[in-house]
Amino acid sequence: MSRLVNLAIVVGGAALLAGMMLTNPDYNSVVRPFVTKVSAGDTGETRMFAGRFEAWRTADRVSFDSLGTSVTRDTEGVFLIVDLELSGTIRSTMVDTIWEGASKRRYASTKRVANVPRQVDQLWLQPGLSSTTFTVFELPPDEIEGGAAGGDYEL
Amino acid sequence: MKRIAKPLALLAVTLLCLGLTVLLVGWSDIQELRRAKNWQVTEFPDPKGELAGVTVSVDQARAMIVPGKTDRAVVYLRLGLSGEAMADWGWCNVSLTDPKGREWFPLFNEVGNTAIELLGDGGNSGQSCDSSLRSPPEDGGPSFSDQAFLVPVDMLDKLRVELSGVNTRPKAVSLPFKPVLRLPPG
Amino acid sequence: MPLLRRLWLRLFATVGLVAAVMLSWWWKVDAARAPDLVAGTSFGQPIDLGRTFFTPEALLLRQSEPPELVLSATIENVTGETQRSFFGMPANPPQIILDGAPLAEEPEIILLRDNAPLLQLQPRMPEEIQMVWPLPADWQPKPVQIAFEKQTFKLRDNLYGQSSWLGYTPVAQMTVTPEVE
Repeated sequence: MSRLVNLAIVVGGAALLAGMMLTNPDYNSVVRPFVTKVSAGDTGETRMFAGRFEAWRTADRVSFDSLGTSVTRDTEGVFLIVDLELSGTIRSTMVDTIWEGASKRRYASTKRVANVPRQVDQLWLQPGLSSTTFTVFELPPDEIEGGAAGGDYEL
Repeated sequence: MKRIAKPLALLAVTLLCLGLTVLLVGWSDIQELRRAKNWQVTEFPDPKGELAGVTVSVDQARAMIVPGKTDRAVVYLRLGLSGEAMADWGWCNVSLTDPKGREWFPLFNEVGNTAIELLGDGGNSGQSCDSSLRSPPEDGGPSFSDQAFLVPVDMLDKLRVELSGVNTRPKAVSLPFKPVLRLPPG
Repeated sequence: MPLLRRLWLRLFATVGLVAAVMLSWWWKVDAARAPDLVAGTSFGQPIDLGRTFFTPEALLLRQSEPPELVLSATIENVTGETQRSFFGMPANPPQIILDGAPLAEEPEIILLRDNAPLLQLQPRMPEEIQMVWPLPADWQPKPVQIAFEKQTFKLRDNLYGQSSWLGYTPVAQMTVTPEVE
């Protein structure tokens, strides 16, 4: 009888440990950001800031003034310019933007267009204040279509 | 009774070891968490207070509504620090807080520099709180620093300034201030 | 009887020892028999460097002050996200070897489209770049060896179970004489 009880304890313990091991989330999913999904035009609020997707347009070439000189950038793909309205929630914060393309690849906003007033990397979001801003991505044209059809924008 | 006492004692020892292990492994994390935030804030009724041997005061508080954007205002604060223990602070953490616990940090950009230029007195304009810790005036008077913030206009009379040093945390002081409203130039 | 049993035990231990020695000796012989031959490559051949596919196009000697070695190439980001460290972290760009000695200088990486330093590589967007190495002042054109290393990617590493870029292994090399520009 006592031998049976011991066996049951060992088997139960092993099952418990195996269950914990199998359901333990891996590192990548533990440290990933909390994502709030909203459709274009709606305001999504996260812990640090809130944002709304206002409009988008594309361009083959972008010209801007950077630190007093006029700069023109062209691309093999296309420039995607996204207008956003962002506001701070609990504390002053800065944000970066990415575009998740149709292929699920993550495109960071391009550093080739920089130092432009009102661009998102110039923005210092403050609690209770909203700002209109824009961000520029450089990507193959077919990455936009899927993103637009999905209607999701992740901040 | 005797048959139960031994397993119980073993269980107790196991739990004690578990607790000790958690404490030992988590010690550095617990210390880091203590230092990460102003956990113990002392609220003073006047714009003058004391923290870790340093007297903290709000010397000047001015505000200006941003031209063209009437929902927001820039706040200019001139803070004075005095006391021997200033060097022990390490670095400053300055923020404005509202009753809901929201935090506004000083502006480190063009807008901030312009605000300090427009609302400050000139003088040692632009000295940050960190550099005021490093270079106290030789006459023993308070060491001043200038900072600018961007806040919603309707919060102007509800804000307090919260101040701590990296080494004073988790302790911090919170001082009230009444900003004097100024008109934009022109 | 105890004598026989002891004999068996000793025999067993000896056989195990001999097997271990023979095995490690064979591994040594095998390693020496097949030297680490890195595949040769040529201009226009894409090379998998882990994060990027790198296609060397031409090697030029630019006679400036100091002279510069210019490697023109096409580089494509083959990961799922924008890369800022195209040759890994810490950076391990193609290595120039002059007379058997690796060139210590870090190359400058120029995005030809902007004629400015390359800051990012977007996925699926191949870009033409130039890598520029400064050379000793009196350097004369002679065959130059270029060595390429690939960085290993592991979706779950053994330490934290996180996705990691790990060590480098040599994947290709080429020997060319730079054309004088």
